[in-house]
Amino acid sequence: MRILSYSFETALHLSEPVREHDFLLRCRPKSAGGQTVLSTQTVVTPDTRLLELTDGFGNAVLAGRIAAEHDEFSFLSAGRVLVDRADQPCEHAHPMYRRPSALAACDEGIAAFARDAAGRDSADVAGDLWGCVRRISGALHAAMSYEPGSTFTTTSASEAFAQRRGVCQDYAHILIAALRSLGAAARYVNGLIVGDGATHAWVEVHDGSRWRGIDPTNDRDVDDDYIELAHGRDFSDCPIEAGVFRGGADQRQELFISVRDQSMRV
Amino acid sequence: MDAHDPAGRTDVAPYTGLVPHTPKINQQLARYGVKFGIYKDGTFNERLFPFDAIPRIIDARTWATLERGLAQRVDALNAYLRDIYGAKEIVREGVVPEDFAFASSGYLPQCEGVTPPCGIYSHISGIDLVEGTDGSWYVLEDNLRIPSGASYPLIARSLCRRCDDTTFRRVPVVDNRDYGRRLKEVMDHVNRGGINVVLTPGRYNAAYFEHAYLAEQADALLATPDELFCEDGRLYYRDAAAMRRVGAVYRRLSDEFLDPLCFRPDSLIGVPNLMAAYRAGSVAIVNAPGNGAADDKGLYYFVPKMVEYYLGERPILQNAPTYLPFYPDDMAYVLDHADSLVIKDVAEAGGYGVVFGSTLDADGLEAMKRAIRSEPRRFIAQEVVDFTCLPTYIGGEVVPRKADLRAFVLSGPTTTVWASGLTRYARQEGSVIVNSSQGGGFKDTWVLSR
Repeated sequence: MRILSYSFETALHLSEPVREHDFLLRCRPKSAGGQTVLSTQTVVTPDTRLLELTDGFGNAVLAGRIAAEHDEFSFLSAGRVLVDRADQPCEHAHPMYRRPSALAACDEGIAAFARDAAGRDSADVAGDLWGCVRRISGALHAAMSYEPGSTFTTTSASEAFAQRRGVCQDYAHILIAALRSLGAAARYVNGLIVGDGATHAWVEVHDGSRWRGIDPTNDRDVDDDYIELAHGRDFSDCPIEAGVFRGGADQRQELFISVRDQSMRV
Repeated sequence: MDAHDPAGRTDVAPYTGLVPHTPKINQQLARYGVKFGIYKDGTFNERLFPFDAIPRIIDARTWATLERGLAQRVDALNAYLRDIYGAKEIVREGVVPEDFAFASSGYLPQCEGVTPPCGIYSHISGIDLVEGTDGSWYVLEDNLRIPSGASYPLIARSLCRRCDDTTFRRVPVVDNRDYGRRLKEVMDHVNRGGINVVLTPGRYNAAYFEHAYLAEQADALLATPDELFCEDGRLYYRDAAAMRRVGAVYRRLSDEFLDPLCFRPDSLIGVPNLMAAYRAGSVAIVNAPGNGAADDKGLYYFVPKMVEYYLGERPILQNAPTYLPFYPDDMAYVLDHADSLVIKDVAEAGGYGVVFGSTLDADGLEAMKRAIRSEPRRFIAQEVVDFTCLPTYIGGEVVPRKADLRAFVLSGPTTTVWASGLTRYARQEGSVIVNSSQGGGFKDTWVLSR
């Protein structure tokens, strides 16, 4: 169990003013699974009213609109979260997490890779599920090279696996597709991790009674260093920020993230 | 014909007076822009939808049964949608297997955890039926997304009335001009505060005529996507003159294009954050997003079971006899009778589509059976229903043509069936393909009051 303080700011610089900017943010952690949000605040600039909702996947979302012209847009999410992955509650896995999804559909290559790495044809919860998960994650970590810029947010598991290159999003998609091909329920998680200056993505696998996290990019089990922001079948269900506006402008994005262990100050 | 004779009692057909007006009515339909859009193999085509003045006539007694059966079916489908996006009891109790409930591409998890205003998902349902040569009616398909076509019989009836009003004074046809009023009643019922709008993708959409016509009939504002926006969890309409809150939107664009921040991010015809406003409960979307979960091919088999499960009633209307190879008994039957069944692929893309076993050669049949054996959940099989022909005026003579019926069921304060409907007929003699995409035409549907 740890208390993490986090601060996460995204700034969008636009080359020309835009208007009628509608956005949807999943930048606020939610008390669920093995984490409890102790405090949280969100600041959007330019200032606007935010509608707080829960989406179809159970994530906290903030919807807003900036009608007036602006050439800067930023959102800051900061707070403290108590993380205790050992105390993950029991919950049911929705069947959709066993099925292929847009960006995490399996192909023959991934299925064969999954069988070889797992050493079996199915990953059933009664057997050595977590052993399978770790073996596939380890094999994937070894097979892939981490290369920022080698993929896009719309790159599928198949495309990334074919080139054996990608970023955390791609590692997660391939692992999800591999696990689903063996019959497991797996989902995509967007979030933050201690010591990393970027947002991160990993995988949760349902072990028959609860969700457990595995991070194929770092080849490690998800522990109390991780804060979940949102989950879905794959990235397309739960982007941290989505927006549309009027006006043709080039964008430049800056990220400022810090996640620190605050446990000693409790 | 004696003016007091009820329809059908003389040997002169009740519609005889209308037939000579057929070319004139078709000219006027073309002028109004009554067209059908067909999206096929990646290209979009529009064509005129020929009107045949000889109506389908349904007697009052038959209609009473259809009416009860249709309302019952739609009530069960609405109950299913509430359940599948909520507690999922029908799946937990094994009445609908998980593989079918969630495999459908129409099931949208983005719609989980929100109940639409008044619990109504399918406000306007288009149920496609045929009358079998055995005399009973069969439902072939439920359309719960945005079923189109109500405007065709509406406008055709009004043109017929203009050409030959005496026919409608002589024959006891139930007036169908109340469709707009019923639509308004449905929208008012679910409206969360504000005006009613009909959202059209725009004037270049093939069904623009219908959008404009229905908006006018239902006394709703016709809006294009750029006239709508969401702020603070509410939907607004804005034009040069004013800004008004919208409480119900009858949208004539499909789920995937509805909101680029929730569904397809590349949609240019959606309203950003409409789903957020909907989830906040401030606007009704007519029909609700996610309805495809109940009208996919794979779910059709289960609709009579839904009637029993949710309503505790026996289904009044029957499906065409359908088999799921997923069940071992059905598998055996399907493999034995593949050459006489219609086989439908329920997988969404790159599939076999709809195949009549009778059209396959020995190799094709074997390949189909192998596919069914290896992926039983992917297929459903149906008996070919031999359905009746209607007299149709083609090329100067009256000839028999196969025809189906799309009945419109409206769910508002109560579930009611519009006493009319779109009858579509096949272009070729003997053909069972009544889709407008295959060049067929349409007829008015007369429901007799006695």
